[in-house]
Amino acid sequence: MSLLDTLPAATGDGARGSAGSAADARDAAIALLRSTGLPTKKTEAWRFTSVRAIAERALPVAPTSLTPPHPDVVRFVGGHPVLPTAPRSPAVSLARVSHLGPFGAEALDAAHPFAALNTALFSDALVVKVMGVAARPVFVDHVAFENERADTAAYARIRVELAANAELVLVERYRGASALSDSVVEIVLGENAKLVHLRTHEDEGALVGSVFVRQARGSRYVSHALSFYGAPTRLDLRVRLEGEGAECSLDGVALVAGDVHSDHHVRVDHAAPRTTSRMRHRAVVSDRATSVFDGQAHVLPGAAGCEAHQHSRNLLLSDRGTVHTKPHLEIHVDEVVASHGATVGALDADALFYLRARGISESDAKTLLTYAFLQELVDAIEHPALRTAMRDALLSQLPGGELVRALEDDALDFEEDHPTEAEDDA
Amino acid sequence: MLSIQNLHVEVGGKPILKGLTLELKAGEVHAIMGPNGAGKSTLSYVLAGRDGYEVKAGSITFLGQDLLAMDVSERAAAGLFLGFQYPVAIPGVSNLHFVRAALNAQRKARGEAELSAAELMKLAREKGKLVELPADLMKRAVNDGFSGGEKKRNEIFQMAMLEPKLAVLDETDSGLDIDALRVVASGVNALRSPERAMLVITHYQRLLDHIVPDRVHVLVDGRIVESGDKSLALRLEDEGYEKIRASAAISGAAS
Ligand SMILES: Nc1ncnc2c1ncn2[C@@H]1O[C@H](COP(=O)(O)OP(=O)(O)OP(=O)(O)O)[C@@H](O)[C@H]1O
Ligand SMILES: [Mg+2]
Repeated sequence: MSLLDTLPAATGDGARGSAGSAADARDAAIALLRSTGLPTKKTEAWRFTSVRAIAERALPVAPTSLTPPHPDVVRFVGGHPVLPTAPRSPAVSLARVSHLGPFGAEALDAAHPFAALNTALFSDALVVKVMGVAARPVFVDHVAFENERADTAAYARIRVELAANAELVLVERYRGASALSDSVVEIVLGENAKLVHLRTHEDEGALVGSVFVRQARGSRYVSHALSFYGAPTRLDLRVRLEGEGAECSLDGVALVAGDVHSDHHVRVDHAAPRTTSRMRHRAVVSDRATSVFDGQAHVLPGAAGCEAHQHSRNLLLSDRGTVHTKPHLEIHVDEVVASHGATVGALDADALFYLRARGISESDAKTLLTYAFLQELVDAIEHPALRTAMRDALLSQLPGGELVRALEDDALDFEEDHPTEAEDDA
Repeated sequence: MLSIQNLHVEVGGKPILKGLTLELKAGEVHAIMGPNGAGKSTLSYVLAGRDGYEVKAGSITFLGQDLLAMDVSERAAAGLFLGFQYPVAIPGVSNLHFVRAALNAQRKARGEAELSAAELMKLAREKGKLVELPADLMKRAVNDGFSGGEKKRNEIFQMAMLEPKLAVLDETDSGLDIDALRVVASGVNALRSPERAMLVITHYQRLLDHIVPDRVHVLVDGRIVESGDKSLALRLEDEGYEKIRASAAISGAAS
């Protein structure tokens, strides 16, 4: 039995052709999978993340279901998109398409087996087109159809296109989905466009997600990816900085406990001069959990004046937990500003004692210090409501997280000497 | 308030405190002086309950309770405060959140109601004024990037907020400029009361001009070798520790 048993027969002879038509893309994906198979622990990029338990099950594609639409949120139910009913910002169009069109090129270029599996098996895709500055975020929730979750696979497919100067905030939540959730998000940013992309992985099934980003001149891609569930969670985030001055900022947090396994593979190709990439990864590992981070930046020939940073910090709260971290950099030009580094450590014993000596219990002290370790990446989220939501999602997974919420929510007003604020004493 | 009897403590298998005895009554301020490495900070850490300090013999009673049987945070809730010789920076935790978490944890442990945000701020303003702690230091991460003197001021701010029954101040005066010394001393003096006691560890008689002690103890090589009134501090300033060391060595050999 194999997950690949669920692949359809090839639709034509597209396997050898270019990915021009829909059928060609599907066929190319099927051909790729038939020749390479799903990754094993011998596959370099999957050394630390075993997908055997999934690969050995012929999980059928989740059936479509008649789920009523949500007014404001795009829902993927078992991988099938259900568009919201409420009117949206005129700058944004959402469509559900059943044909592939030019899709799949990015995913296939990357020769990513699970992206190919998605290309072969997804039914309908969500296409988000943004022509101007979107006033409100687009929310996408990935959920399972009630009765199908245990034994099905969900293949969600999203394409996001931002026109020149367009701006959007995209918020994706993966929660309570199927036995396998294999999603692909393709993003194309026009000149000076800006996309802020938040993802939370709260899924209890296996979650394999790929994000492929192409950026034109002066565009910005800001990603905040947060994992705290999954068996395993694997995120592949690949960004191509194709236009001069394009920038990406890629933050990832893994908060893992129990047997949870989180793997973030992030790669940026600097294909144009004066492009910038910043990767920051923070993992908190308890119990027998594992966090993997592989962060690569490649500065390609001709891409002068680039800046590339990869930093990984890991807090290991248990001696049975595992951290694999590998920030690295490949440079093919002379003139680059670069930094990379990785740390793995326990909570600072001196800080712990200091907090306890002031009356804070040991468990609360650990919570405060653990959250302090992650806070920088939460604070980096520009949009206040989303920052709070992200923080709350994190705190809900942190033992004693209510303490931090209680401290922060009941805002303390410091500006006592400011005459305009004098009334708060009343 | 505090009774330490024949305390023997080892750190990493090495004896540091070697039969220390000390009595401190409510309302009193005692100073401890002594050469570097004598065990002054060790005493303060043992009182606060830090890991790695192994009590081999002796007892500590605090307000009638066996202090050594209590957890670190329980000791704080019972009214013990340690002003650190080297306050720890905690990036990512704001000073006010920290003080608030500490104060409310202590109140909760004592069965008292937690303070609301407004009550806390009122208190913080009042106590912040007392030790002249600038508002921006309250908002910043605990001791993160604070100067040496600012850290010490912050210790006194925390003490003023927490209103302990016994404050152990380990070299709170070190690294302070003259103005800061006055400020810190007045913060300490403001807290002096018949219900409170203080144990002030210092190298300088100068501090004791501002915080006048009831008793001065000299700690040498893990033991109190001499105690006296405030004039002892003046004498030490003149003579140094040599004379005391010599006579302690004689009495140590004799005992
Ligand atoms: N972890 C440790 N392992 C071994 N020895 C230690 C350890 N911690 C402290 N000591 C030793 O214990 C002795 C007492 O140290 P302590 O810090 O109590 O001295 P102190 O009286 O506070 O000195 P100072 O005036 O310099 O602050 C010193 O000799 C010191 O080296
Ligand atoms: Mg000391």
